[in-house]
Amino acid sequence: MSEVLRKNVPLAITFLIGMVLFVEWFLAVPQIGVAGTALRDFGVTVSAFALGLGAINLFALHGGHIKARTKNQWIYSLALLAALLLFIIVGVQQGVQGSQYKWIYNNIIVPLSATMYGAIGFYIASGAYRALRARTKEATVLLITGVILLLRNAPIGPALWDGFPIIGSWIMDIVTTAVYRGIMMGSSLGILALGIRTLIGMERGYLGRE
Amino acid sequence: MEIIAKGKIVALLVFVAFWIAVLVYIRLVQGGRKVEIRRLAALDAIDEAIGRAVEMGKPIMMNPGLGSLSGTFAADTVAGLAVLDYCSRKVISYGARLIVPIAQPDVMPLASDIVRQAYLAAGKPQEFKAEEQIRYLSPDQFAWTVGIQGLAEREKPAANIMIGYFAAEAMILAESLARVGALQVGGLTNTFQIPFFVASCDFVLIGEEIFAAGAYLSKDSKAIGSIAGEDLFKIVAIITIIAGTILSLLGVPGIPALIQM
Repeated sequence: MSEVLRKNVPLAITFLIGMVLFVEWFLAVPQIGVAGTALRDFGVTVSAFALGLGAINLFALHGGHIKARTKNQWIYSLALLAALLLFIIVGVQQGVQGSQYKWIYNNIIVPLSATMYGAIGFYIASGAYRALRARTKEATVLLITGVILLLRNAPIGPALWDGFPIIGSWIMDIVTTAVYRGIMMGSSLGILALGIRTLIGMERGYLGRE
Repeated sequence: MEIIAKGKIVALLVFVAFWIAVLVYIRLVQGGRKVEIRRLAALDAIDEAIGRAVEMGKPIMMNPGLGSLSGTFAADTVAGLAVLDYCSRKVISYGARLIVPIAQPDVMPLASDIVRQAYLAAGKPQEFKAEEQIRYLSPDQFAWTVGIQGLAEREKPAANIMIGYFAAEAMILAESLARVGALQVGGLTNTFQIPFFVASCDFVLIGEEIFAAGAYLSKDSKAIGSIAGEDLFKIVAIITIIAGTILSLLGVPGIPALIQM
């Protein structure tokens, strides 16, 4: 029985839900639309429960660090759990539209996220330094293309030679766009094949039972 | 009253034809036809990465990405989890340690179950420590990113496998793990981020390759047969694109209207 529950029931549920959502997408039958909406709502509810599991995971791990006074860790664990509790208490009390809740979000989370986003430029610079070295033929092509596009975008490029914007735009509009579309079409077919394998129970890796 | 939703007739026909192509190839493989899949260096490198980590006595990080199990990027996450299944079994058989940073709460129970099953299969269920290995960090994109950076600095993993959905944080992750000396295998479909992984990772799976990863690693002949069906359909798609382009250039009317049926 446990073997049936462990293997076949999740595959049967995947097939049934997958087929309902598949039919809902392609057919204009209102009853199936209602079923599809209900299934999606159910998914949101399950995700909310999973969020609770995530919080338990954080409390178990970081609570342990605080208790054991783990070197170079416990103080950060304390900060994390304090922030988590603060958000939970204020959120439960006021809801996500509450003024204090919004103040905390807008003055802590938003600037921190913006800082990380801004830091991407530096990571790109360090990545480009390592990648743009003419060690092989392919790397040399990458280097030349990178330099042309750099000179297309930087003000000094057009000032040096007005051909840089033209060549750069050709690379972006023709070469890059063609490659992007090829990758996107390939990915779409890959998603379709993965979806079919998942629906018919052939793709089981995500269930950990290969 | 129309049964098929407006504008989806051609899409439905294409999907049905695709499904038939996949099933036909699966049948052919079952009937004894040999189908070979081309070598994917990035997937072969996973074993090398795990071996390297074992030799160095350091952990392996397997990142299934920022995506959840629902929505546009669910397929990327499923592909990442299939690789997690393979990685966890390999890592445990070598006696190494695996760390899985999780962003979306709905992915956590599945990832946890995959690793737990791998420990059970290896006869070492007592060694599985869910809180330490399946690290739920945050569903917020950059909080998750910073969490992984912190893990990288503290744990200094010898290998980092990132297969799933990645967005603006891709370069931060790849560079942070490169800095601690991890051998990196990346895989994603987000075309805006692929160049960053190509620049920073040692091996990369591009686009559709991540969806073939589960079948490739499982070496299941039927699953590989389905990829052959996909390839057949790819050829049909290329021929259709060329034919459509020529017909449009010749001024044949109705091609866009046909596609939008």
